[in-house]
Amino acid sequence: MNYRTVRNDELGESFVTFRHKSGLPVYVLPKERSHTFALLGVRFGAADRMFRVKGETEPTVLPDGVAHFLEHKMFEDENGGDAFERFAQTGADANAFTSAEETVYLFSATEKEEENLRILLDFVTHPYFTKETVAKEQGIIGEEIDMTNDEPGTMAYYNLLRALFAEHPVRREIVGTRESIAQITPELLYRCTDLFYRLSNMMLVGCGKLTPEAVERVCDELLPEEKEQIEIERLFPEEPETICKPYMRAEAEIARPLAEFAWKAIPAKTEEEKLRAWAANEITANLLFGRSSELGNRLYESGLIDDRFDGAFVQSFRLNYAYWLVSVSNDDPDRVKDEVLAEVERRKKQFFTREEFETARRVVYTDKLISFDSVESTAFAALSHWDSERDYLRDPGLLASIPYEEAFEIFKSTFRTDRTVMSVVVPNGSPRKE
Amino acid sequence: MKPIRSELADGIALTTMHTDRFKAALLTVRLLVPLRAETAAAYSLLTDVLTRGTEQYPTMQALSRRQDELYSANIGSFVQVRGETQILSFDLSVLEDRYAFDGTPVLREGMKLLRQIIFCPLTENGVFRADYVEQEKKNLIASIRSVINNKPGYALTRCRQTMCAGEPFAVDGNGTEADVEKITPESLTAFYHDVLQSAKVEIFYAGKKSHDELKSLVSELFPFTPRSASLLPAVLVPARAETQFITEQMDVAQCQMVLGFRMEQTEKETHPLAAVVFSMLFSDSPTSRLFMQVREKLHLCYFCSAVPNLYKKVMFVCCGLKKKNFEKAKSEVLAQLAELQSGKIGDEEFENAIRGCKSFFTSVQDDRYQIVYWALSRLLQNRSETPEESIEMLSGITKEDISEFASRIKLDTVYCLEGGAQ
Repeated sequence: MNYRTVRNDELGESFVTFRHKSGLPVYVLPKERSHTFALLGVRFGAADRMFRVKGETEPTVLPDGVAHFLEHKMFEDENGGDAFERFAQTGADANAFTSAEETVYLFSATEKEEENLRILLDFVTHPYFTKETVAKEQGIIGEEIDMTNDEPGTMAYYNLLRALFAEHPVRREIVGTRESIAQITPELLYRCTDLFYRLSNMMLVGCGKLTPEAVERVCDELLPEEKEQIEIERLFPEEPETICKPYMRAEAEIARPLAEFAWKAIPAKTEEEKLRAWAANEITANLLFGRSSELGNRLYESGLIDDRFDGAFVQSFRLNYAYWLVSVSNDDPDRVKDEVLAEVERRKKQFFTREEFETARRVVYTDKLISFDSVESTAFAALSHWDSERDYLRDPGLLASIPYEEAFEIFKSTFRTDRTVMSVVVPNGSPRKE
Repeated sequence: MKPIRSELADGIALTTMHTDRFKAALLTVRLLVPLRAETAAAYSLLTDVLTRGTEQYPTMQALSRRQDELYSANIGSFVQVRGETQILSFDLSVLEDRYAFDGTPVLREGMKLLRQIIFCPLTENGVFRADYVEQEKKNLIASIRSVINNKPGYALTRCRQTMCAGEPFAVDGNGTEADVEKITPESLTAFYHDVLQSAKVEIFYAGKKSHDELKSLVSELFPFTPRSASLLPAVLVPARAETQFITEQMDVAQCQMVLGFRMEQTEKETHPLAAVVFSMLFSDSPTSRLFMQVREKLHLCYFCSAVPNLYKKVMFVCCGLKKKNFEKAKSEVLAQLAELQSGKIGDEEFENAIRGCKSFFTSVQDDRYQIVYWALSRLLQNRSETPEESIEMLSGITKEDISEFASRIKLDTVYCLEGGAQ
């Protein structure tokens, strides 16, 4: 097998990567820890709802919530057992989650790492669905949907995405709705696993005590030779560069308004550009919204905000969207929005000083460095570079080297104050503002 | 990783755990006081006001900038409640010195900053600044009110408050809105001096430095004076003879069920790890009784989990569900508990629970916060075993230990938060 070892002495980190003959890309991240964390990512997320399979005339459109539904259902096998029971026998802790971009299955274990890896690879490659098990899950996920409907933060977040995007599937709820999941059948789930649960469409990351040799051995034992590829064209509707709606409002039983603001950006074209936008805007976000920021401290001292004020640049490498985000919980979100806008306009004319920039650079660099203390964060850092030509150990270096002038330019081009949206959740019965 | 503990003076102790695994170290100063309605709000407010400004760094921005300069050092100050003890916590997370490229002694400088926050607050004529106090009062009240935002959390709080009404355990770590309102800069300053002189002080460190190095840093930088501080154990109350039922309404999509239990105490001690093995078996894993039966078999809910409190010897079972399934879910939770009480525990589920606990104990040392929390929680239970020793103790535990522990758990209060108020 062709192992490729990547080492970064400055960080004291390294990893080994190879493509298994089954087509599965593998990353092994050694770390001296008592527990090992491994994840198997499947490139099938909530946003993958429309696609065309080569040879078929019509595109397939899935009901909302299929990827998440599959995540729940993959744990069961045809003998009525489930993967959780198998993990319990090795003392491992297993879980899974679904995002817009992918479905991730994971475990954390302090012993029998190879055995746990075997269980992980086995259950994610062996779907089993029946009418009964699907019906059962519709009940459980129905309760999960009700639970999220009672979360004001989640409500504000989805309303924000609906305001930002007219068409992009990221505006749809990952868990779906009670109505959409009622349309799910075993046949539909099998079709999705046939198409998307292919080893070449997955990524395995192990961080902790696993060795590349051990991982390869388990892969050899369990995984078939690479199958013929099915060509799937994932279809994304054309998303306008402009926003969908400037304002969204909802009511809930809460104490005071929760608000999210966003400014829609045009996503960078290439991976390199996206990485540079990430690095630059990490530093700029710290300057604008971090604990030392002039804006944050001024708003805090004037009593306009408390600790629940945060801002960041959000972008997706695969799903091609980007926006600046600010979240706040206070009595007067409109004023916060105005203050943020004024500060951004001011900084577009006069950026932060070089000295301030260098301090912020040190902060984000150190935070990144410390994140490698955790096997979980390290594994997720690797996963985030799924498509990347660049390895995740080069991220800190990019933070350390991105030039001041470039960061200023990136800030100006990504923070589009003419594309502002606001989503607010207010206490029940609050008066409407004009 | 055996913790090393030194009594630095009466009522002041330092516990260090040496570890070479991390790029960052954690030092935390904990002031332990009894949880009381009269003081809870003030102590909570204090942790907020102290980080507003110090003599040397009079604004939050100045304090934050200093943390940024110290390689993104992070000082967190907050209150926690453990049983009926309120803990004023001051955490300092810093890069290990060896990673500082300009040779800054980051831990030492971070501790100097922490010293400013704890010992040198910004005052005017010896009193906290009125504007800082007023503003933090407003923020704290907002935070108290926002408890309703999280419906399962709110339901749990309401069940605890009603089940334990009149006991210190019913007091919230942040106090009540009315308590906060009453605080003045003068009264807060008095609370500050009082807690600084009388609280039990426990300092913990997990990182690369030696115990002796820490000892000298603490002695040099933290001028705590000796005190006679002792903590009272939590008030233990038997379960009500007749179960209390409470229903409240709110505009919610999902009904929240909380079952409140008391753990009865007898002369005979249970196995020290019975509680944690019981929790694993009952609720804390995807193969536990509550997950397998209430969620997977009856599919009544998305979550159903037990929250035991070993300091206070109570337990709450929380579940979000449809109102029409309330009785069914409640009966099933009680039926599962009854099985464990009667000793109907399968070999496999028992072994799984032991392995789950072992795995949990083993991974404590992979996280510096977990390392410190472990030491703190042992201390509060008057215990001293390390995670490694706990693993050894697991080999002696039996199913009988678990059922004996489970038998002490008695239902006290049934709480229901339901929609339909609209």
